[in-house]
Amino acid sequence: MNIELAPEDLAFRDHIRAFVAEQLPAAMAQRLLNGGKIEPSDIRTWQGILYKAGLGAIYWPAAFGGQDAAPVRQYLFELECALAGAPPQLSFGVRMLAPVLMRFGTTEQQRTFLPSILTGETWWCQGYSEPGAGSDLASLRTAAVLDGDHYVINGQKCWNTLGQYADWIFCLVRTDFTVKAQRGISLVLIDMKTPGITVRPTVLLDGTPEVNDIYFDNVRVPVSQRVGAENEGWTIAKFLLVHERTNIAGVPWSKRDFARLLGIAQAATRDGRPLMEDASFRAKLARLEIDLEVLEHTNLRMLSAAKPDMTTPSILKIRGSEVRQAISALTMEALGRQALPLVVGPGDAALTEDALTRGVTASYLNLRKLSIFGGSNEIQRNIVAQSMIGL
Amino acid sequence: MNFDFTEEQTLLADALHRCLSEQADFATRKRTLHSDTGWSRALWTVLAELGVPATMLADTDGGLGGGAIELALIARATGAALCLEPIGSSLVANLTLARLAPAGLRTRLAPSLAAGTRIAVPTFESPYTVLQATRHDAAYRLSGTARVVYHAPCADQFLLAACTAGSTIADTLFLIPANAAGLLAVPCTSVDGQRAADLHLTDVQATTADTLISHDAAAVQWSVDVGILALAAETLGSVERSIALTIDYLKTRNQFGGPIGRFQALQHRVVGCLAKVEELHTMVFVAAARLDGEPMLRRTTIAALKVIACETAQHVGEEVVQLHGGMGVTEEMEISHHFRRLVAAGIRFGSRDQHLAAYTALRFPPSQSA
Ligand SMILES: Cc1cc2nc3c(=O)[nH]c(=O)nc-3n(C[C@H](O)[C@H](O)[C@H](O)COP(=O)(O)OP(=O)(O)OC[C@H]3O[C@@H](n4cnc5c(N)ncnc54)[C@H](O)[C@@H]3O)c2cc1C
Repeated sequence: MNIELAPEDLAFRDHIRAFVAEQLPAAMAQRLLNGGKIEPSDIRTWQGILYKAGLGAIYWPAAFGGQDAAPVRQYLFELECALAGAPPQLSFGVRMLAPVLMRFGTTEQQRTFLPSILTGETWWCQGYSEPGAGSDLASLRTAAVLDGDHYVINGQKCWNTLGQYADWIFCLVRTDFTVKAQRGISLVLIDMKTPGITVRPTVLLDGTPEVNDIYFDNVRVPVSQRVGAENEGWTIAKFLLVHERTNIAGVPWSKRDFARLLGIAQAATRDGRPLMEDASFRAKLARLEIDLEVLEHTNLRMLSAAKPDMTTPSILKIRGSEVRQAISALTMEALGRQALPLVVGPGDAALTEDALTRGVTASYLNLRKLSIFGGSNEIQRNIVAQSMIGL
Repeated sequence: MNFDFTEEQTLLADALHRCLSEQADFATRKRTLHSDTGWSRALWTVLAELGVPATMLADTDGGLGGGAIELALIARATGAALCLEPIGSSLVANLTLARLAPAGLRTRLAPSLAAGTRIAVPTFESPYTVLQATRHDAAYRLSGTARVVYHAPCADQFLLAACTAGSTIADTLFLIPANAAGLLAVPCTSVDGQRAADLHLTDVQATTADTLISHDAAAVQWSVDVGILALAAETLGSVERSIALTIDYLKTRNQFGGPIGRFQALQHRVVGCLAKVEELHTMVFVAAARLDGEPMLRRTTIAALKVIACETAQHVGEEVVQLHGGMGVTEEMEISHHFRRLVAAGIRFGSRDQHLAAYTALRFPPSQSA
């Protein structure tokens, strides 16, 4: 056993660090490190920069424009980007759809869709959940009925993250209503400009329209845009779950948030005294840093394992979301009463401009989602219990 | 011993619940929330007719002579309804005036405060303040800043705490007009949607005869404690309502072929919340019963109350959102508004740790371990 990074990995990390320091637009980094909202243009710009440097998706196979990077390297890459203040990459294309296309897509589909995912030109969104199909995803009812060489799609998707900006959506649809729920599902790719699609934003509790309802009214989609065989959609969705685990714990983001927490705590006062003089607060910081350390190394232990195991990702999802939520709660606590104003009235430029408080409370509210989406923490516990107890 | 309410107290609570469920249902409240002022003077007027602001004032001053229990019952009802009107704030100001102000000040202001035509709100949530009161003959000059003062935009009067020369904690209480010269209010909206303002005071004149309620640090602390009680009672109302909403949701939301409430994993989470609420319920009324009692016991009880209230607010708030799944994080759902109210309640009047430290200092001072 050697828990240190290999010299080549360290060299890789230094290379990424230097690259990010040089290429990440400083104003963007400054804004995002100080709690500014991530704009779609930030994501597009950064993906473009990464692409030009050959870093658009380093863990993709070289044949598709990647570098065949090992999971640990991908982690190091994301950590360096996050700590420096980069926006996240849009996971729907790079992380979710791309591996599926590489495994199940036709050569034609790979040629058509992969390049613009890598450059960041095409914005993808994920259309799985429906009003009646959340945790019980397999009960989804959006129907795709064959009509010649097209599917005619009717139904409603919901919770589509950033779907208002999307050029394309990958959707799970029901292609067979007569068989067991899991057996009648297919994955189709739909151009958002296709007639019959309506997008309606849903405002979340932090006041932002981050997700959308998407309605399909007789939307015609060429059969050639189905990925994999008809009724193979559930298998594909499960494949994705197994492969989407490098960043399941969200450690890079937690580390970035923790650094901000530390900055805020060092500037904060409580009852007229520096907050950092308060032993109980310092103990909370310490405890949280221990959580983060444990999380990071559990994540690395999993990423560097030769053989993937089925329960660790679920546990990492649970702990990763809990730790990040706890960091956001402590950050809010450190601000004390300064955390109260969410929207500032006209005239108080000082508060809105305050880099120390910006976005802290909004982020605490927003990050409740971490334990709900991507398979809620209760569903993750069910998965582990099923696998370990199995009664 | 009994923890029962008197018949009058029960009638008050029932009348208020009925009034709020008819006139401040969630849809109405949503319109109020998004209105320009962010509160409804019409609802306030109805509540005033019910006697809500009068409750805290002495009967000799035209009030109803209520005390801490009435305060807690009213605040609990307004928390359940997520009221945006300055109810808790004005109750605290009115009770402080009723108990501590000299007769002249009281008789001058009590009638309009009782009628609800004048609204007073406190500007402080702890004795630690940067507001300074400098004495000049028969008047004080008040300077400094009070941040995020709840309901400041709808106040006619501010109940203000300040430090006189040489004091590090507030030792004077004033009631000054909101339009006093030298007072600048910069509005903001709190995370729970309630309107507030930062108050900047520059040499605001406060004559002793017209504005001074008390020159006594103990009086300031008592008034802070009333505020904590009101907030904790409001929190109790909000968590009770949140759990009721959540139980409804668990019974009606179907996944995997039936209501999600049939999963024991979720049932136990609800029971965890219910246990927290029982504790808070107990502490709210224990603290109310001790508000006018021996000061040291009152202080430890109020500190304990805020510890329990903060923990309950965070635990229940996070749990009920989680149990609603994605719906829990939408603006549309009532539950997310309770969550935000509970987030604010955890921050206002000091954190769990601040009150735990206060409790520890009172009960287990370092000298005892030596
Ligand atoms: C901000 C946000 C972004 C999202 N983005 C997307 C997206 O881009 N694309 C997409 O397709 N979806 C997206 N989702 C949807 C997300 O995946 C679902 O919200 C999630 O699957 C939970 O489903 P639900 O909201 O219907 O909750 P429900 O399934 O109704 O769950 C309600 C509660 O019951 C619990 N529960 C359910 N079943 C069980 C069980 N068997 N045992 C124990 N507990 C159980 C849940 O854990 C939860 O606490 C997003 C959601 C959010 C909140």
